[in-house]
Amino acid sequence: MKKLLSLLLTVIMVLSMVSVAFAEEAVKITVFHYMVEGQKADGMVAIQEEFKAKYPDVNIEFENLAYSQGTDFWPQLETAIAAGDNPEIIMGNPGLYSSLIEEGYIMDLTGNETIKSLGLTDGDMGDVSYQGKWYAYPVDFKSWGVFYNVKMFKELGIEVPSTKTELLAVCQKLYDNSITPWAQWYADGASVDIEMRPIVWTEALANGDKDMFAKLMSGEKKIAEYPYFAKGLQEWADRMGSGWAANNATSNKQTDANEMFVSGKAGMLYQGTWNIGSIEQMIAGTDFEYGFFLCPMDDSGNTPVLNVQVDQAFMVNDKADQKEWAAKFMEFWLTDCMGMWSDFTYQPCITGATTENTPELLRSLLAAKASGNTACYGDFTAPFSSAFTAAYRKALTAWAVYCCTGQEASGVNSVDTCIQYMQTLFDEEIAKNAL
Amino acid sequence: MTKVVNPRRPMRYSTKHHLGNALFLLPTIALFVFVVLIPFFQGIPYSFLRWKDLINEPTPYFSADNTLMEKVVLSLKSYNYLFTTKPFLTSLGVTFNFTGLYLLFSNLLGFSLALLIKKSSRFNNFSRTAFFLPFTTSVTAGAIIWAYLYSDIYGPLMGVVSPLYTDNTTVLAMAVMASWRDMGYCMLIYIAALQTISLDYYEAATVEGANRWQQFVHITIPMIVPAFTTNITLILAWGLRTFDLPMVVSQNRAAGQTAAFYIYDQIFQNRGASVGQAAAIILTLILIVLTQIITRVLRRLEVEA
Repeated sequence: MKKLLSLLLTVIMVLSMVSVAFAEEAVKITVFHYMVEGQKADGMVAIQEEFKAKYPDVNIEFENLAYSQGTDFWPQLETAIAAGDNPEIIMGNPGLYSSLIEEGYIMDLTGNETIKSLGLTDGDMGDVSYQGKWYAYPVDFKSWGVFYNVKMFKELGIEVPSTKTELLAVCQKLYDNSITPWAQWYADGASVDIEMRPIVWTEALANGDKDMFAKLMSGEKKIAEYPYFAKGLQEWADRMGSGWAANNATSNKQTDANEMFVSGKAGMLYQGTWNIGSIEQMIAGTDFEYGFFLCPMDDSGNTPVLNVQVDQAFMVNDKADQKEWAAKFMEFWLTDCMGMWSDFTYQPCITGATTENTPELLRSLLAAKASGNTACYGDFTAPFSSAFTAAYRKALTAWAVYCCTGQEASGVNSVDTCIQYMQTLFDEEIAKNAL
Repeated sequence: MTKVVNPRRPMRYSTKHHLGNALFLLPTIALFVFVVLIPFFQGIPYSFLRWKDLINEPTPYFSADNTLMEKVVLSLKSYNYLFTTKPFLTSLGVTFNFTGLYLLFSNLLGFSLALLIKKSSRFNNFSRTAFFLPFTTSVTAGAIIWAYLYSDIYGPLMGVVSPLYTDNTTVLAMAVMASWRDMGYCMLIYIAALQTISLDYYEAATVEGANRWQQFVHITIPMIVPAFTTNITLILAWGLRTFDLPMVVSQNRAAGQTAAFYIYDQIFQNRGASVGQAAAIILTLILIVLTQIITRVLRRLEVEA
């Protein structure tokens, strides 16, 4: 009896193993990304479900590799790839991940019919290109400007400023009423970077310096040769003011500044449009009302130029097993789910797609982009690499610390010393690249 | 002729004893060898190669046409870069400053607390637990709490900005955070050492007319030198390889960038894997040399109980 029982058990075990081996394995697509906002997670789930409904045998797995901000993504991504992980889809703008392209990890999408059918501008496509070839599917775009507390502005009789002088007067008025003008978050590298872009990008492109970043990285040109950086630093310093900055301006990160703004401790928040969803989530169920305007940089009264950069973009791993399915999934996202993605995430779609739920703020951003009064990062011949971005942000952070605290940081105590420090950091990167 | 057979000699007690100890240590040694030693030695050649990202294949700095001498010189390019540009040397300076302060604060506070609460009582036992608690928290969580304390409590109270965000005080502020976390650990080691000192010494000293201070200097301190050796060596090693604190509180600022953080930045972030690897080797050598020197000096000061 015992023998029979053990034989039976063995047969069952063998059969179960054989059945597992022969079972048709469902297709699995892994997406490595760095989207940390809750509403984007909801958007991913929604798209995943839509795709699953159409292709039940395909599973999409989103894996978040972010530690605290987007710049932590690359270390984890390259470690994962070097360790043999091969995700089908990798989030990111190709210009920042040139090593992946050079090592053959990224699928060349040049001439892709779905992307072509979206009718995107050269600036949009530039953000997902590397050396003239398309390497990513663009999903939405980002810009930056000033979020303001509508109720507070009304109570203090403040109008939305249309000139730089008016903006500085708003800051002063808020300060005089014991309200911190800005919820600043200079412990985050992105914050110092976006403060500079309205001047640096806009003026460089207007003056035809499309190869500015490429020349700075190669060492062909020095920062001091582009006056936009010095002007950007000065304009930003004017906005930071003298004594306006809160005690925690240089220690705050994005979420701290959001809380400061939403709790009414600060009247304005200079932020990216990627933050709209986070603010919406924080104010749900409250009567907090916010508005948004592009930061006026001069006294001309002209509508400020909208900076545009592709935000969510996704590359397909050419070495992954399910690369065809990955491309299919991305094309499904771009053609069938753009409105839904925007509704979930409050992100303006690159295609301009809207639904009846699209908020007014997003519509105005889409309209501003459609007007063509834009300065697109993709219009530059090359973006700053991650190493140069880190060096640039380090110098800008030193500037923020100096302006907010009045104390020298890394030898930075004026526009000139900041430019010098930035150049020193760039020179070190150039020397390293030449090794 | 009778064949002489060597009688089987019984294994000596001490050999048996050492073998037994070695067997107990084997799992740890194996883990250390596979996880630390082998990867470390495997990493050394990368510092002599051109290697930007982890996903790139490293290539030599030289070509086949170069002479042997040229090959040697060219292979040292990463090391040359480290010593001819400022960031690594600055990060080493930050690391030494931080480690010095951290070493001083955590040992001084740990030792003072140990003297205060070395005797067992309900209050002292509670205090020991309370002082040891920070050691059980994660560095990241502790650092975030301290960043808030500095900016939202200390800053407004003193009318200054957070010490973490001014160049002159960043290292000091980080050392305070690290010492708060680890002083409890030092305290426990000191308490254990203090409790092993026989009371006979103090009684004899009292009979001989020695006052409290003389007893402290001539009995307590010499008798707990092994505890100093342990604490100083450990804190020195932890300090020299501090990474998590700057990662949390001073990511974009040179004033708080330690050597370990510089290494991470180069290897994983800034396309300088070989430079980072060279920096890691230099830091390891510094750590080994300093630890050896300090251990030897302190061992000489130890006395037999």
